[in-house]
Amino acid sequence: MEASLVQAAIQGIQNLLDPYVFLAIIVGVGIGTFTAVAPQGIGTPLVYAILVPIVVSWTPIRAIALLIGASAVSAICAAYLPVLFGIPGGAGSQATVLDGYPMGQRGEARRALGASFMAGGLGSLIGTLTLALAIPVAKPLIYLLGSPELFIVVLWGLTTVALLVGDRPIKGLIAAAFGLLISSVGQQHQSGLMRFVFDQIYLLDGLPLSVIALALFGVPSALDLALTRLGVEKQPTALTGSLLDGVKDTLREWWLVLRCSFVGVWVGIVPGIGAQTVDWLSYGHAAQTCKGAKDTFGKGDVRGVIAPESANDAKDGGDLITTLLLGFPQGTTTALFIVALLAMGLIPGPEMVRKNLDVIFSIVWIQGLSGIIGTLVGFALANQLAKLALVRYSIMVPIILTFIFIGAFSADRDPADLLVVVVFGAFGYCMRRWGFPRPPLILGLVLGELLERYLYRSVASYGLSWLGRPGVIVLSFLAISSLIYTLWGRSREKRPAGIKQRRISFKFKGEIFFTTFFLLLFLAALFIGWDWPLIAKLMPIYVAALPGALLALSHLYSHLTGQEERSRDIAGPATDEISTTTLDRGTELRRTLTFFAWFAGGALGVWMLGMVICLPLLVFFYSLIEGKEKWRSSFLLSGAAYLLVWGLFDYLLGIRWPAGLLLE
Amino acid sequence: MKRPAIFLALSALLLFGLDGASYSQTPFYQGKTLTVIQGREPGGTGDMRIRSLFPFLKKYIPGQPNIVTEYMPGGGGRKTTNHIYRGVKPDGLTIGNVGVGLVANAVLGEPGVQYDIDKLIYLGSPNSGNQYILFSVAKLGLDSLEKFRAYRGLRIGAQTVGHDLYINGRLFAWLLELKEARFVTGFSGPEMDIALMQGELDARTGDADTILVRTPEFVEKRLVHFQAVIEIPKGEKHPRFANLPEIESFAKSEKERRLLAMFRTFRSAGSPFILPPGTPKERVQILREAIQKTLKDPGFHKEYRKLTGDDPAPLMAEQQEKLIREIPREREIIELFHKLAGGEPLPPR
Repeated sequence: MEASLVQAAIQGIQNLLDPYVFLAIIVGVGIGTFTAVAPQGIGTPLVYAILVPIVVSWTPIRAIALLIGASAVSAICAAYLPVLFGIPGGAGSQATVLDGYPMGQRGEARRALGASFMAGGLGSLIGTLTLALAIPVAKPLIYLLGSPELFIVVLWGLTTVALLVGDRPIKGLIAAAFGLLISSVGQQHQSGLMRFVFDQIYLLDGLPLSVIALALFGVPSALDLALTRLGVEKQPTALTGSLLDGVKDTLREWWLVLRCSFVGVWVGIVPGIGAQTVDWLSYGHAAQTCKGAKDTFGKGDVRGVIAPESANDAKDGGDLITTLLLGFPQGTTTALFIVALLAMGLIPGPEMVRKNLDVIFSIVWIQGLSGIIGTLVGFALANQLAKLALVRYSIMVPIILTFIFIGAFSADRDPADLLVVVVFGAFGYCMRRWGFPRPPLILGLVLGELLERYLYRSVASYGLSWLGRPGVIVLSFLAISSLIYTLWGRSREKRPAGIKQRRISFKFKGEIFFTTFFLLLFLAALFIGWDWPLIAKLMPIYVAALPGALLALSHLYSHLTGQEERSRDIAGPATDEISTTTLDRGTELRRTLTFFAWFAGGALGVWMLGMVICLPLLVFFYSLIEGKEKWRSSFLLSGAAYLLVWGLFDYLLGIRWPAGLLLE
Repeated sequence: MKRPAIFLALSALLLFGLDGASYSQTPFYQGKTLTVIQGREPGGTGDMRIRSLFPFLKKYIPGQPNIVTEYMPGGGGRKTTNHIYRGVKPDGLTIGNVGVGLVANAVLGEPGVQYDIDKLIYLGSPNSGNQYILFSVAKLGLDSLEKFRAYRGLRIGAQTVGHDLYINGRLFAWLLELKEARFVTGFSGPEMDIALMQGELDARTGDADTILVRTPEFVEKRLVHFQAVIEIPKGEKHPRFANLPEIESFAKSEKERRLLAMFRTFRSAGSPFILPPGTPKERVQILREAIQKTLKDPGFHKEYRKLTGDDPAPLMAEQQEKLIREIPREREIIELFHKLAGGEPLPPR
């Protein structure tokens, strides 16, 4: 076996000694880089859907080189959007925004990008190496974890909420409970019951995670720019640091890179966990294990960039382990990759390991090479792109809004997505304004469905005997130990006295209102779901709504009795979730309402007139009227938006946006 | 008096004649764009099936229009079908394509259906029919149907309540009178295969071609035992599984046979191309002929196989319409089907 492995590895390299293969990798990397920096509507699945019918007639290695080149790089370069615009990247690059954007705001965009590319490149290499080493042992590795073990692992991931809630655990837990609650919207797989659907087809498949993440993080980021009028009233922080600083940071944190890469590989290997969890799991792990993280994460700690980016890129290696060695796709991209392989006469799985091991090794080498080239491309572009952090708000805000609308509307092309993005955009603003951390909400949303699914499968398959499985016992012990250790460590820390947060009195009343809003939502859920069968109400009612309502009540009580104010005076530094604007109350309110008027108006316009007409108009009028830009620059910006929306999607890719309601 | 009339008549003749002549010289679809709205996410097998058609469709539609696609997932195809039925102009420039749920959702009265399957215009489908195999993991030792039917507490895997494979499993369990069968949902297809090997599941149903292509070791290494088959349409045997008993051989009553007939029709409809009611007849005819030629083109068959790994099983428009028109719709059968497709315990026979 060893000799044949070595021979196959050598043959795999020899397969690549074709200039067209190298050219295909370069073109693939170019395509992947483009999808990474493009708005969220263009992702690797769409690129594959377009490329696969074309490349299946090529020689297999060349076709594989193009496809792998495109997918290997898209994760490496996905950090541009989170760092520069505060918009979550694609699945797997959401958590980067938590620390990447604050770094960008204080002028360290180059350092953040350097760290993300280096971490991504290293993660990609580690994932590739793991793929190569896993060839003899993949099958037993994958079969080791059943539904019971996966349930414990996901539960463990949820305990990282304890680390992401900052110094106000109750608010974080309320957010997490809300995330768990909205994860249950839709038709339940186990009972077929429609939960919180209200006879709306839109809600049958649940609320769209990507749209919610985009809204929760992207909208407040754009609002920040509009409030501070960056580049006009407030000068942007000069760029400091360099790409090399980020590289050094990553190399210094090599142990973190290694750990998070293995998290990524593991997520890639295990079917069903999904790309959307990898960055949150690794971020939570880093927050749990890095020294001083509880004080610095969420405020521009470079480790908060390194962790998710290394995991996100290592995941590709894990995906390929399951895809190539077992023949199981891990998502749309790998499913299409399997389609391409089948069309070329290659059958992924044990058959391919037996008959085409050299091709598997070719894929390994292509993956590694693509990662290196992609990292270099990222570095080459980063210096110029980092300057976007200096662009004034009157240009950046309409660009960010364009990206948000494209990302939101491209998911399902449903007008209801526009409503979701506006509602959750406002929600994200309120959460940030009144100190409710957003990551636990996303974590609850991402992991809630998985938790319910694995719990159900465990009980349905094994009854209660799954609790006695050795894997479950070991993993439970590890999860509980790490949680106890973390909470014990936090409880022993001294809280510095006398550090006050700047507060505007309006925020105080607003917090009570917002907490009451949460309470009403939880109570409404309790009322609606109380009569459901146990299998349907276990998660949304007993795990989410009931505890959520109690927590909200407790928090309201603290406020009304003044305990919250007293604890705030003696608490340590908060997380980044508190808005740090220094405007007077009236100006802040006026600018906030103005921003949301433009934002909601834009959503309405897209619904009525369609993307192709409305977005360029929105960009034009916002720049001109709100941003007070000159006619020429407003027109040019609007033209760029039109080229993006119509030129790229409609004309080049042949994917049409629905016409607006008035034009149907 | 006669002169103006003659003059008018001649003018009209000239006008309409010329116009007709110019109309027949310029195909309607020339210079136009045909939009295909798919009721699915991009990139899956369904998408590949439809994309494989496009080059040939363009060739066979006079005027060779530009063909573009939009995606409108959600509600198992209900969103797209509602949109095609009510929301698009019936000018022949927008076609919908959805999966097998189009007919089933309407007949079963599922929530959110806002279309009438008898008023939609059908253009055919590249796929219809399949063979679904019920199989159990070899470790259980159920190497005969008698042993299989005698086993208590079989754990049968599926994606979700209401999913095709879930319904297959429920039908098998009901007609084979499996004892205390449990249906464990929440798996994807590949996860089910892993769960079978891990011992978390005992049995599942699956598409015959998919089993042979994606998990050949199941057959080669005898890791599973094949128990029975559902043929769609009835009588269409898969060469590898021709010896398996067909599900209808277990039916005891005419009611059960009608139920199976309805079930088979749901699946036989395939992934229909549809037009909204009111589309001009001549444009319907153009599109039907183009799709028919496409479905018969050997080049299309080759392309389809390349992109999906399966051979197409085309269903022409007239056959599709007939199938849908003749689908059993008795209330009693529909209610029985609801019970079988739902999450409640299986009804007594």
